[in-house]
Amino acid sequence: MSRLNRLRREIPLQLVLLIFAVPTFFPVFVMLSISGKDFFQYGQQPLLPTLPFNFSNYEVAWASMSSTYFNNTVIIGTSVAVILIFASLTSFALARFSFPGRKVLFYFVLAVLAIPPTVILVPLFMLIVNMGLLNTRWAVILPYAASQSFAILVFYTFFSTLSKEIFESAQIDGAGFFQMYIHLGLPLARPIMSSIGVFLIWIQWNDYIWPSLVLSNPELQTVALKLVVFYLGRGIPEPGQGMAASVISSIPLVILFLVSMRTFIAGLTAGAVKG
Amino acid sequence: MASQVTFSASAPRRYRINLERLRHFAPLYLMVLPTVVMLLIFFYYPAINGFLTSFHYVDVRGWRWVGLDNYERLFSDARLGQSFKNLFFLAGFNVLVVTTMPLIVAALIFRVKSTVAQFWWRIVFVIPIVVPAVAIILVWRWMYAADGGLNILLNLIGLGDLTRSWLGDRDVVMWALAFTNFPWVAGINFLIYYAGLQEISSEILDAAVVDGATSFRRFRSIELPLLRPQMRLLVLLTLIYWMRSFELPMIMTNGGPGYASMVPGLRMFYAINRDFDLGYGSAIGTILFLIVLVITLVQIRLTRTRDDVV
Amino acid sequence: MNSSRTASTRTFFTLCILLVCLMAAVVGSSAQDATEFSGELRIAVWGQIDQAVGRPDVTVVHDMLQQWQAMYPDVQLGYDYIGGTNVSERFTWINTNLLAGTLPDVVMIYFPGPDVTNAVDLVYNFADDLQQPNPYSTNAAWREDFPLDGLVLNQTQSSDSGNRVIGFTLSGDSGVTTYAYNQTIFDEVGIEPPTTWGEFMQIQQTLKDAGYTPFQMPTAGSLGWVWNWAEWIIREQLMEDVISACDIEEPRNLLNDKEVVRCIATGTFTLQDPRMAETWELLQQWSQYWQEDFLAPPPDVDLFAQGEVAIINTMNLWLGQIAANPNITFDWGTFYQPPVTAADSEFGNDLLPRRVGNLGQAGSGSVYFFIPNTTVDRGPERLAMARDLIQYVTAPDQLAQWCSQQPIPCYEPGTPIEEVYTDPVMVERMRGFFEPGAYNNGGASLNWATFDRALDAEWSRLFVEYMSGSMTIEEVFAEFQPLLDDSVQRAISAHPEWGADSW
Repeated sequence: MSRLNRLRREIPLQLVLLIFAVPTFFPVFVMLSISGKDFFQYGQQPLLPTLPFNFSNYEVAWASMSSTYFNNTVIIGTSVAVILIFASLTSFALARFSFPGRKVLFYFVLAVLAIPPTVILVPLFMLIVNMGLLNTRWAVILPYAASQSFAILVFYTFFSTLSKEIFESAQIDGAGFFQMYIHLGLPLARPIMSSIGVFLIWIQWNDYIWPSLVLSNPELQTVALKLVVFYLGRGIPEPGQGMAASVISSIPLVILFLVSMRTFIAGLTAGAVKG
Repeated sequence: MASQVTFSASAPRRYRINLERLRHFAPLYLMVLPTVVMLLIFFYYPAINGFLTSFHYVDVRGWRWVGLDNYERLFSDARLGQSFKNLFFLAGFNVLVVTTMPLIVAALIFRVKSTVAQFWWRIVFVIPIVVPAVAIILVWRWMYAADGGLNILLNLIGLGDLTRSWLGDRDVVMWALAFTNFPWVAGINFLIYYAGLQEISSEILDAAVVDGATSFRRFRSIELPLLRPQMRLLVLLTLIYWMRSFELPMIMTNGGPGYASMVPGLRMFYAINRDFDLGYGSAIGTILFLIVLVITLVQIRLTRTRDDVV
Repeated sequence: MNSSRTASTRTFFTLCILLVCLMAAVVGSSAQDATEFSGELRIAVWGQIDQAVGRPDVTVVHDMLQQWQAMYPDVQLGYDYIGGTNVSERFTWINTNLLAGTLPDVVMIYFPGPDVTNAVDLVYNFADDLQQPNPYSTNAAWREDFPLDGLVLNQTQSSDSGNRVIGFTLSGDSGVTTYAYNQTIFDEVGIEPPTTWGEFMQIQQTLKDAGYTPFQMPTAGSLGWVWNWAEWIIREQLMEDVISACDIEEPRNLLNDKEVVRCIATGTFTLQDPRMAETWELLQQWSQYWQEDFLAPPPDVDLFAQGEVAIINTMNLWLGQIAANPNITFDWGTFYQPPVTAADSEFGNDLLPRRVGNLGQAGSGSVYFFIPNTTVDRGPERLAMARDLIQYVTAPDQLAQWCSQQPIPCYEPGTPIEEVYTDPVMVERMRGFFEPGAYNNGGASLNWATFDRALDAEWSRLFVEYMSGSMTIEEVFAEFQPLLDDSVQRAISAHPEWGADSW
């Protein structure tokens, strides 16, 4: 009874939230609705969903977008793995042990956070060109993999909050620095690792500018890049196909979100706070 | 913030450079080495190189030292002044937005009694971010088109007089860009406020309820002051984000019509990707870097009172 | 402790193995072996020429490259895609790679941009080879393989007075001086293709009164360059005498960069010329018939195909896209841009606009081949292969193959359209490409686009500022003049061989 009352009292609150939710979802609605329209359906009713739902838009869009899933998997998979391994190693060393040069190294690593990627766009581009990596996946993987400072900051905060007793006992057991990382640091860091991983995947999935500079080969292009190229670069524009490509570009993240909802949210929160 | 845990028994003591010591710590240096090398190659080298490039004229035949020419061009370029104005408008507008909309929604969700409902509301406002930012921009581009969503909606509710070419009208194009992502709730910003609200101890809140404080007073006198760190952080992140990103005008309008929605980052991008004007592009990049640096330093100054990270 | 120890070890090694696998996937595989022509040959192509839809101009080239590959199975022919979604980005890609020495062995583009014509010393010179026979041809010299003046390229001569031949094109192209129209709409409102500029405006007024959008002018997006061309075409039409005065070097009828720079530096061409302002005013008047939001990015839907827009720009490269568009079910035709008469403007001179691009000259908008000097550095075999590939593609048999599959077949200049097409529908559709007769006007380029792209981008943005009413013509020209002067000075100092002191 009281539960029902409470619910009733909350109705205005929920309504207000709903008012915020509707426009928030409007773009998603538009995307889904238009993605099912053929040329003439769009001409007659550009906004509301029409029947029959025209799946051939997805066929056309998929023909262009299909290679991007593999590219993103390889690019993001490699760079995130590199970041997780080396950022955790670095922050473990910096957070748990004091050794000559530790402070200098710490600032060396974190100062990078003050360099916005846009600012080094030109020279990084020239560097990639001079390394002969233009139009290879490395052109994207390497700079991504080097963007470790945010992960290091999160790992660092995490490692430095661990109690020192366990490390002391491990030290008495005669474990070396690396063993301590493997047997103590890593297992403890696993939850935060997946949060960081999810956040990095999200960031890299969204990146458009850098791939657009270095990946002109259509077979190597990433999801976000190919989407823009497909949407804006066609000779015969078809809104349905463009929106279908947008939907296709979101599907993997939707799945990632659904299977790891809590990690995803934790990762985004941690990422934003530190990044 | 975190108490520093040192392995060595005598942590604060100064080290002398000592080979044996270095050998002892060698594994630690090895652990840090890959990161350091990567940062050197992909951040420090380009940053320094970019700074140097800004003093050169670059073309197919090579580099030529031109001193401050690029900076002179930059400061005498009236169009660049306009684009900085646009940038500050976008950044300012979004600071305004980020300190209100996501905060309101986070506070509202926090007031929902059932934790299950809270969880699901949170999901509702997070899930739109799985759509890539460029896809969202493309949808909004459609919304603003002459035959697009916004004009359709306006006609539908009988406000046909207000329809216009939102991206082709120089007087409204910046507002159109600013209103992209309306109502600006979805995403990380509201999660940060929400996480901040969760950290407020329930005792304080309970005490407020016992005192009979209204919901609004509770917000104004307890939650809002306690959320100040989150707000400061979001303002910083928003400012930095807009200083460095230019996807929105790039995909939406190409900076047009004319220069009406041009921003410095986009101009820099064109300098490298269209005009092959690397020196000028680097000069713009250096200026943007200085702006970000100033913002960051101001922020650090403002938060001096908080614990140092190291 | 023990179980967590193994679990964490596993985590670490799983991560490492994952990393190794992914790296292996990145590296991919490559292997090759050798005989007469053997090894790798890379060719830079404009886009996905193997998947281009409605673009026989490039798909046929792809077929020919495949044929060449079939003759030399030991050669690994690889494609590099020229980056970018628009012309300037692709030029930048070429520029960057030319600078870095990473340009593929053969480059296939639509036309050599400023990056190539300004850096001819970085590009292989074919002048001597042209005197030798082409192994795929029976002609005495390769030069004789280019018979159809106006359709097939002769040569590109750079402005360094060295008369270098730096590349070959396959196609002429009538730029954007041809317009496609919706025949059904024309019949409905009772109008005919125009013969003068005044008539052109008049029929658009009729269309507007009938509720149609008369004309769609792309001003942004991947076709954003089209309206610059519109401006440039009218400018050249009105200023024919200035072009003649500036055209001081062979070959005639083409202004190279040296001639344009000289023309501006000596004041033969100036923004103060009243015909410059007149050009902009004509476009301003025309713009009342363009799509209402022409200053906004292009719409997401093809309004011509939807039957909302009556007239659009076209060019022979795009004809396939109209013809292959399943959504176009109505009849359509083409007409050539009509002349500005004295009745239309005080500067009207009855001249037909110059056909943009034709002789296969620089800026002609044709499929174009060149070899960067880095190919030469990679050894004589590499150069021989690259040259052989180009010789094959430009041999008479291949030209015939190419011509046979174009929407506009190759024909002797001056041939009446009825002799080229027997189908009356095709006569109506293609009339705009034949009406001015032969490709006789030349691609003049009274334009800075070929020596300073950044300047041209600035010009077009200022043009938008004028069209959107935020600046007057005088303000625009006043702002542009110093930029133009700077650019001309830069060009002069970059080209001491021009001997600018003696101008």
